[in-house]
Amino acid sequence: MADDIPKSRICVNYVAGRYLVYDVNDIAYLRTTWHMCGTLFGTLPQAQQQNIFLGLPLELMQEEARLLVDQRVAMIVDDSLAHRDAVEALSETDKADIFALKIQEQDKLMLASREESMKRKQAAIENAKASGKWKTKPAKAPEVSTNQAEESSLFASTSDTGTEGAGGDGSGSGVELASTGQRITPDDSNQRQYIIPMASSTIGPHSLRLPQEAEHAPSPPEARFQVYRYLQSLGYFMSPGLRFGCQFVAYPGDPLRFHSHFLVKSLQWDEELSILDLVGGGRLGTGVKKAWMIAGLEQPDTEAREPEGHSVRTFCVEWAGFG
Amino acid sequence: MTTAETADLLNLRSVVVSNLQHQHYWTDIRLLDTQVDIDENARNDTLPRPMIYGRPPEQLYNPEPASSTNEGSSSEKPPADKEYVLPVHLTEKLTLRTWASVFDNLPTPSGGGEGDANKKRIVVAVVSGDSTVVYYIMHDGIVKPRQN
Repeated sequence: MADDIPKSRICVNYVAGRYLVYDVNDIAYLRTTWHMCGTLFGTLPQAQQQNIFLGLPLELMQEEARLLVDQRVAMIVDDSLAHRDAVEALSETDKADIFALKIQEQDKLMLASREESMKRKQAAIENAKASGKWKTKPAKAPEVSTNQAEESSLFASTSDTGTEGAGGDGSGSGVELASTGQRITPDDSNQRQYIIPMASSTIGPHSLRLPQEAEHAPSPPEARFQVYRYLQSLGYFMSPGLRFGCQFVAYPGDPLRFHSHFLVKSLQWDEELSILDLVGGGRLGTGVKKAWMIAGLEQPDTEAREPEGHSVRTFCVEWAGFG
Repeated sequence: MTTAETADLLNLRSVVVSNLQHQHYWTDIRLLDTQVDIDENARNDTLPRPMIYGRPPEQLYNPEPASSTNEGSSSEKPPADKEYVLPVHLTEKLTLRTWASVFDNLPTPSGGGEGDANKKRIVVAVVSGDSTVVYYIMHDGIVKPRQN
């Protein structure tokens, strides 16, 4: 995160119609420099049962992807093509390298996690001894060790779990700690399971080859894109409008610091908007302390103006406070 | 615009005028049909739609009220700013082009600051079939919402 400016273009992976960013540094760069927050939607491996806090990857809106491509900040990688290409390009030594790297990473994580859980366990035992409950509740001991076994079986091999089961039968803390201690050495690598890499760009240390056909230009609806680009250029943070029933929500600064100001609906210059929609929008905006904005690329009546002089016009609607 | 449509719009306006006058106690109401009604020096073109100019009993929400001059004599409230009112019917469908043309015929507010107060605005009066009238403020350009 130290280097704010990536040396080359950002990789935006195009997967099943969505534009995804997998690199944390890229995400930080997009947020600080390009006012793009996107939407994180990856499950956190440590807490799969919740969807309040999500992790990588980050999904970008079509408009964001298009703007980044236009500005030559990012390139779109069609993931299915890039994946095929990357896998085909792997040599046997590459594969061996990847395996070695993965094993290293996993071992590191595994050891850290075991140390952590051992500390926790010891602390729990100390606690129990201090409060005098340790001896009075021997029935608790096997339960704890089963939990431990389940927990570690995520990382450990099956033979290891066997030992754990045998040692966990109501025996004292000494045996249990010993069995945990044994497992500090990493397991046999032929019984491991491997985490499948999320993005094809992370397969292997080789540089990702981009097939020409994989270049893909995002094509959001023109009216939406023009409005998006206009507000984005003014420094607004734009996010998807689903939560408020509009196309975009516009924040005057980073959404972590500001409430949004506008609920944006883009229109073509001659697109009809029913007054009932205007009333609904105005009421909606006022109800959530925002203004409802309609916007579109101006198309002057006369062709006197040069086409370059295009500008987006915006109108903000709020309830008048009476009637 | 055909004569029938114009007549419809004029009827619509009369509904709004009486609503403003008798239900909301607006004063100094004037009818605007041509650009001359807004600015004496303008050409005598008809406005895209008939409008109303009037003074609400209390100041409508103002993004940046020019309060600095009136701070001292707080006992006597300054009269509320006059507003432009555009009557529309609930069943109408308007385009951005129409909205833009309505705003383009209005003068830029004078005396306002540099920011939001300088933006043009209208009060949209929406009339429904049962003669209920609801009012919405529409700004030309990006204007921060009042409560934020």
